[in-house]
Amino acid sequence: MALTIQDASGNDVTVTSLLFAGVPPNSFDLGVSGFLSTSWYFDTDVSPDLQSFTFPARGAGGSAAAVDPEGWE
Amino acid sequence: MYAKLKFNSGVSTALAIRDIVRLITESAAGSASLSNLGSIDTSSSTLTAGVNSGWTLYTGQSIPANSASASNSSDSFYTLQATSATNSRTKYCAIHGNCHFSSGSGMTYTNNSAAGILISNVNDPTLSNANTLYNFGTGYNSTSTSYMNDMGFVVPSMYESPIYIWADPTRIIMYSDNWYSGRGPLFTGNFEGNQGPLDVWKTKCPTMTLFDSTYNISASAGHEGMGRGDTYYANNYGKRWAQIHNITSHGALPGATAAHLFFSADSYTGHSLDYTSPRAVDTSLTEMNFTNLRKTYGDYARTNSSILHNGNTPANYSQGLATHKGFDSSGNSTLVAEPLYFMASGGSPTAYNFSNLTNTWRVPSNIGTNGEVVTIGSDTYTYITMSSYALHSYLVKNT
Repeated sequence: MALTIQDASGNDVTVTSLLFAGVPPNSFDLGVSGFLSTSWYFDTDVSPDLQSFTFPARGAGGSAAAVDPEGWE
Repeated sequence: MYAKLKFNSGVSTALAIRDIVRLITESAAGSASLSNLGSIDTSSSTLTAGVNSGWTLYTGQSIPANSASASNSSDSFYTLQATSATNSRTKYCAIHGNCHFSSGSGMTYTNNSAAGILISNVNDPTLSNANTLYNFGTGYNSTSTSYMNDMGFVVPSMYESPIYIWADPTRIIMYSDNWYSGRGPLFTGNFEGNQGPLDVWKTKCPTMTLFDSTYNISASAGHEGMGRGDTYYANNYGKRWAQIHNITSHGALPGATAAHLFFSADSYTGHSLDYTSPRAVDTSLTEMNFTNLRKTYGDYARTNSSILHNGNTPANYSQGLATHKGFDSSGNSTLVAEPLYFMASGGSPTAYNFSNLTNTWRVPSNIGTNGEVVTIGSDTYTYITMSSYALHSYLVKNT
């Protein structure tokens, strides 16, 4: 009984080890109010290639409409 | 300790709770045995002693003998306690039937088999009963039989589908592939997290209660996922939810500790658990200001509070679940195991990880058979698949 993933060539291989992903540093530590991450899933700890992103404040740009960062995903 | 229990036909909710709690608490002393349980089919059940559970009964509670009839005062809920892995703090949870809250009398339907079995965080075990609003994190706050099977393992299903239990000092997990009459899988439990810089001066330990299901429990997620039996949380619909316990924020709620911080999600395919509004109570069981809570925990938290995020992010590897992998130092493929985590955006310096201590991880679906025990390196895990969707499976280390 084993789990199966694919190797670099696309062949099925038995899982023989795990890589435990970490939690990216939170937005407080980064000093931004939000972030998008793309590749931290492949890191075991705090990712050096985390892509931080600063959301503008709600209503930025002089618009009366609030900016909803949830809609930006 | 980990076990698979199949209950005898006709067993009541109360007696099933009694068996589950007896198994876990006897494991704390290293004496757990299937033969000590009174309501299971031992030939279809299994037990691996492994690491002792570490969970004991709270002071003053006891478990009746198997020969004793189900008791509404004793078997309706049991409060358990254990010591945290970090700073040796005492933490509490309860295993109980839904709708058991009523003036200290416990369940009024001890011979009934239709109440769901739940696990809750307990804020203050010294309170006379869980009928105090929010003291238990979960369950409908009444004895109404109209709601008792809304959530939790309903034992008639356990006559057919066994319930899996993992209990060690960092966690209690319960799972079944059919929690009630065709409702599908339920993965629930109490998970210990790390302690952040704002938590260390507190006396409590951050934990998480998770309720992961694919069945739409609708408004019950709001009603009963937050330990209150009214319509206050009627807008929190969901198939699954999580509660984060005993975390401390700064910012809008300086120094306040949330006893239960609740999120639900109405989907298991596309939304994180904070898709709907969070709610919380402090350790005095006073509801925290909703407006401030939003500011503290999540205006931008949708991508940040990814307890179970499955959509719109790299977590959704729809292009090939089996390619969710990394490489070891020799270049061999490894499976990437994702943490259960919570981040309070803009309100806390702590990212809470509920996987590191509990050895319970999210992994891709479709890479194994549900319920199979797999050996990875020198460890054994059980692979649990909730759905075929993305990262909706778990890898639970058998400790």
